[in-house]
Amino acid sequence: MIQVDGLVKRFGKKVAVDHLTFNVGPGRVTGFLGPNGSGKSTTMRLIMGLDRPTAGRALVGGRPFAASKTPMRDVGALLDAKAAHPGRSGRQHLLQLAATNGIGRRRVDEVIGLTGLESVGSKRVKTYSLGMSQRLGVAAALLGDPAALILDEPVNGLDPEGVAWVRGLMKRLAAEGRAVFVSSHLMSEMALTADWLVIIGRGRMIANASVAEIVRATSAEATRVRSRDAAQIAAALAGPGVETIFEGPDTVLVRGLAASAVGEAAARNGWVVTELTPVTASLEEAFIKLTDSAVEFRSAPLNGEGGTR
Amino acid sequence: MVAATMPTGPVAPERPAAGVSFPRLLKAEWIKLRSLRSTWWVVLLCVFLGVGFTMLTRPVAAFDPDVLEFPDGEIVDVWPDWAARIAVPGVVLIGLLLMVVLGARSVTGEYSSGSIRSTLAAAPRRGAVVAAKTVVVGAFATVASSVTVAGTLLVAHAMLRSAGYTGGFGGESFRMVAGLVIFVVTAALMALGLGFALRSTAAAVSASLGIYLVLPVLLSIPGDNHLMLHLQELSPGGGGVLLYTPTDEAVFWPGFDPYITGFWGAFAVVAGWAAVLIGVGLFVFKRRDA
Repeated sequence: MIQVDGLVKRFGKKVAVDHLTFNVGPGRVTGFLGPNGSGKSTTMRLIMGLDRPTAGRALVGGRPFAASKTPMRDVGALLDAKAAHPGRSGRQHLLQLAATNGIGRRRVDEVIGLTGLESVGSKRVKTYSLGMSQRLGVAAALLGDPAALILDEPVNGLDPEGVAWVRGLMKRLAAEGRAVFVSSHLMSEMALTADWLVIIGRGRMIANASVAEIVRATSAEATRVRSRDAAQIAAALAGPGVETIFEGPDTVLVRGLAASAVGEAAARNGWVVTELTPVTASLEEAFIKLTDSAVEFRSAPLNGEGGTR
Repeated sequence: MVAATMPTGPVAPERPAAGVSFPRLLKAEWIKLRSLRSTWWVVLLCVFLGVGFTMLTRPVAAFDPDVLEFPDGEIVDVWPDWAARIAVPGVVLIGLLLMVVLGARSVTGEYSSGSIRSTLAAAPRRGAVVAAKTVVVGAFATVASSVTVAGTLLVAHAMLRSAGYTGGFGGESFRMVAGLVIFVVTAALMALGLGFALRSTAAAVSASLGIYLVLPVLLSIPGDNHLMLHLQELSPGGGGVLLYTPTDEAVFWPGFDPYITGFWGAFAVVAGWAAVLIGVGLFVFKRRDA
């Protein structure tokens, strides 16, 4: 549905998108993950034809989006919650967008209903909260009943109920056969909705695989061992591909060995083991591990979590 | 397209026959223009300030030395287009300023609000967006400035009547009135082109006013310099004024042979400037990241 092929975008000397190649297929939610400033928004803008690629190309349904004769039917995009004129009402904003593609009033009222904006539809956008603006952006994206959706951080600013709503909506849209391409800087968010993940860091591809594969590939097996003989165990097990980390005087985390292997070694050597726990990395840990070397803005201690523009 | 066969879920049962066309873009631009309160404020200000400014000229009109009052009280019809002459300053000063603001804001408002991104997501062909905006803003500015000109003209006429003067709608009146509208509308379109090029209201408005008000003054500083005079007449605030200037006032400099003479020459100047600046805006808009 959406093909990104060798895409490069440079802003002066800075390379924002560095040779990205991936496909966004129909019928599933493709999560687009990366730390803040890793080039997610720029990639989406390149797909939408808002920015010109330095090299490579992005195709939607086999052609550049800018060449589409039925743009709103091909792609519905939410790139920025603040993409409506503050002086217009939400309904007028939607009517105006609908008019460009010959979409009628009925559909406008429909998407207003779908996104729960009935009560504020006739109010000016400047009075909207971030959550309401976000819903208006979703409404605009849905107007053309599009075959593909591109959503840049759609849950930003939404309350828990709104977040759950967006998650459900994305899954439903994908279940209807649409391609849903959604960015986030939070792996935990994507773990709940995405079927496929495209992970980037500093504009470069880090991973392009199913969620399950990524978890499998990144969560090296680890076993937590509690024993009086912890020091001895650590010394005996350490070796190529096995890392031992002391979590306490008698607790050691053995990375690279499954619990069964540690148990067998304990039996052979006669170690007294009081705890033997398999530890699997969460998706969040996998993400941090993957992007560790590719974080653009590392927060200093005590700094809050940054947002995207 | 897989979704074409998917009738369920939160989408319309029948997929709308959606597609971009120029008439649809015109309709969308018209909704954009009329759905902003600022559009109507600009029109109201234009009409009322234009008329108000004209009313302030009343004392001047009453003591105009060109009105010859004969001993028997008869007022001679010196200027059959006098009402149009009185209407000029109000329209040229107030109308120009406000229509420039209208033209610039129709574009720069999309940048300051970020709505340019949703505009291009819905209609990615940029040339068509510029064309649709030009047509709609041009048509709207024509109506708004016509109303302003009509208002100032009626006030001017009423002022002349109350002073005992009976003429005022003859001579070159029609040409001057049409010229005023063209002068102001092309200014709005120039500002629109500058809006695409500069993307900021302040920059586009000041650049437009600079071209109209400051450029002719700068070019006139050397005085009797033919190169400067030619440049001056080729500027919209120089040669363009012939659109609404009565023939007897249209003198550049003694001994100077101008390129631009008459209504159509002046029309070519302002239309040319508008076309060039819209072209520049289009060029920049098509090449630059939105």
